[in-house]
Amino acid sequence: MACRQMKTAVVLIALLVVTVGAIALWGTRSVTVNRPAAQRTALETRKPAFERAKKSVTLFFLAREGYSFREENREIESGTTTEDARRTLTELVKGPKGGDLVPTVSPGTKLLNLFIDSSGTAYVDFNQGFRDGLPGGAQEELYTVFSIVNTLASNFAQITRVQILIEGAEISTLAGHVDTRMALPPQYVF
Amino acid sequence: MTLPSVQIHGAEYLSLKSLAKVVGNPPILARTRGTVRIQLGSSSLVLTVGSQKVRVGKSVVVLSESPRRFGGGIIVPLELLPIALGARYGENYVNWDPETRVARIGERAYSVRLLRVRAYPDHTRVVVEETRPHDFVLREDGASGRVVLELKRGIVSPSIRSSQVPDGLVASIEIQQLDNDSRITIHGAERRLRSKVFALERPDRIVIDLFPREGPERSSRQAETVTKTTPERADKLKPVARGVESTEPSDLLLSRQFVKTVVIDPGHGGRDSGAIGQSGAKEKDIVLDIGIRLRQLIEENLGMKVIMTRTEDVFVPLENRTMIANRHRADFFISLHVNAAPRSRAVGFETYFLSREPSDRGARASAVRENTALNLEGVGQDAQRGLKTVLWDLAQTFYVRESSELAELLLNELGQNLKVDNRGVKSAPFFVLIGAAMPSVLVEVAFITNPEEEQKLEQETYRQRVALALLNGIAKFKTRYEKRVGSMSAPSPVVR
Ligand SMILES: [Zn+2]
Repeated sequence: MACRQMKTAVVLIALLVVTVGAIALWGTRSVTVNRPAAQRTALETRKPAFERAKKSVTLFFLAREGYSFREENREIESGTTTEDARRTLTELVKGPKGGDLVPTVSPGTKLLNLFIDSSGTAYVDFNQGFRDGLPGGAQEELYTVFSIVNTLASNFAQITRVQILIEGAEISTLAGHVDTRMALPPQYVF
Repeated sequence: MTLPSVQIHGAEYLSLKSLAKVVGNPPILARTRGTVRIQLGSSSLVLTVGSQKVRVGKSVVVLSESPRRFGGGIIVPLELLPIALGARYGENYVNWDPETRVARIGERAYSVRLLRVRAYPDHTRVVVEETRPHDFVLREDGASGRVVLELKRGIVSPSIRSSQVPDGLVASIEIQQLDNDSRITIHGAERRLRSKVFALERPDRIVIDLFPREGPERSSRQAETVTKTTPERADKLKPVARGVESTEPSDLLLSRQFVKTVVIDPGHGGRDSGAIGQSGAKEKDIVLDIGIRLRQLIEENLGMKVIMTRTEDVFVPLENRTMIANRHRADFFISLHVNAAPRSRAVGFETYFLSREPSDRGARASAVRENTALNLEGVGQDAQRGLKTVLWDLAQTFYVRESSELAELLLNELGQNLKVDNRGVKSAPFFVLIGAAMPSVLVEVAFITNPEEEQKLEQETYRQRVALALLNGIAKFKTRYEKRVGSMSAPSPVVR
């Protein structure tokens, strides 16, 4: 064990309890404990079709060095939430623009469909090429799955969980490690 | 320094700012939203709002509550305070008393926090665990029949208490704090005690062997024996003593064996090759070989029953793997894998335990209790999937602490034996861990996509080394788990 620099003096830390009216301040929010912590960049509402609004979204890619998520911003045309989510995911599939980032899905990937149900679950349907292009390791699979989940959950307040489908069907797992039988909440660090 | 705290729904929280103040470093907001990092000396702490898992250095600590947003800032559960202080100043320098709610940080304080007593046919052994004040004084008080051990600069942890010992030789053990030192007094039952003391390393502990003293006149004449052990002298004692205590053959014979069965799950198989290396090595073959080696090592060295989910190159559905473990009522489950990262130059090993944010925290704990008796055998049939998956989740949540501990022990042993990158304990919603009604982990022993690691994995000696490292981790976990399970189900196994 490495030697640590230490104050010779004894430091005392005492705690003073302050009880706050928990119900009043927290009660209504306590139901949201399990929702993803990320702040929504855009709390979006339905816009009239003639309004060609642009919107900035954050995509989750992989850092070339060090293996962690790295975010990249992209402008998309804005319409309904479902349309926006679909466009955002299409951008994710296209891959990163920055040279120090690598894509999280294989080149043969196609997003077939995306819809959001009333409970906040987004169903994303990919082609078989998405699954076939995976290299097979657990870590790659984790980053593939959660780049999709995190991208959707952190950009759209309505989406809390993401269910991945292949050619319209639910699958147990993409490459033998991550459980995709149920919709997944985002996870930013492993 | 006095810190304010907040109570929400019975749980106590501290502001992130206060926590940062006591460790002397400001919190840094990570690029990923809701994630905060605080530097703690050479280590660091990473937490995410809404997640119970906090990364401290290379390990993951699971808190009872998640950090949350409150009044414009972030608040963290109070239990993170001693953890952060320990990581910042070194665990041996921090003493947190939850009752007085005072944390003391000082120089070279050693906490005395765990005492183990075991009865052998001819003597009783008292071990002061996880302590390193190898500067101690042992006194045999002939007149009263007591043995007194004074540990210099030892701080008695509030979790350790004086206790009665239902043992023919020792009646009770008293633990006291005397200014900067701690004192352990062992009272003999009837006969006077004769003692022998020695200090050991890795893990650090002090062992006191107590024997019945024959001939009362001898002990009254020799009223006081003082053994002073300076650190230098303790060093000389260690090499001789180490082998004697660490094997503890009579421990195995005398204590009831609670942890009997382990499941080894070599990942993939058959049509599922898993990851494939550049020169063609397949994950399924490597993990099967390591698994078979590990089975033999466990059977030979630990005397445990080993269940393999596969012993040949066949496809075994993921559901079946945990089903096998549950059917055998195994004590823990280890899934073996090899990692792949074709797009980076990653090397090293990592261990995982299950993470899945539970959908209803309140319902969770009680549901687990309700369902622990539930027969998890046979789960995995698609028809029953929905509900059962939820129960699987609950089953694993119940073992999350044990699972993370097992993951950590395996990681440490791999680190000591393999000398490659230690990538830390991680958590992920892995299929094969869901549904195991026991502590379970997934180990990634190397990166097959890294040509160097692939080459190593193709060598028999390296695979044997991996298996040996895993064996050591399993042995440590077994000892700890047994101690805990044993103390829960059988108050004190008296063998006298
Ligand atoms: Zn694998």
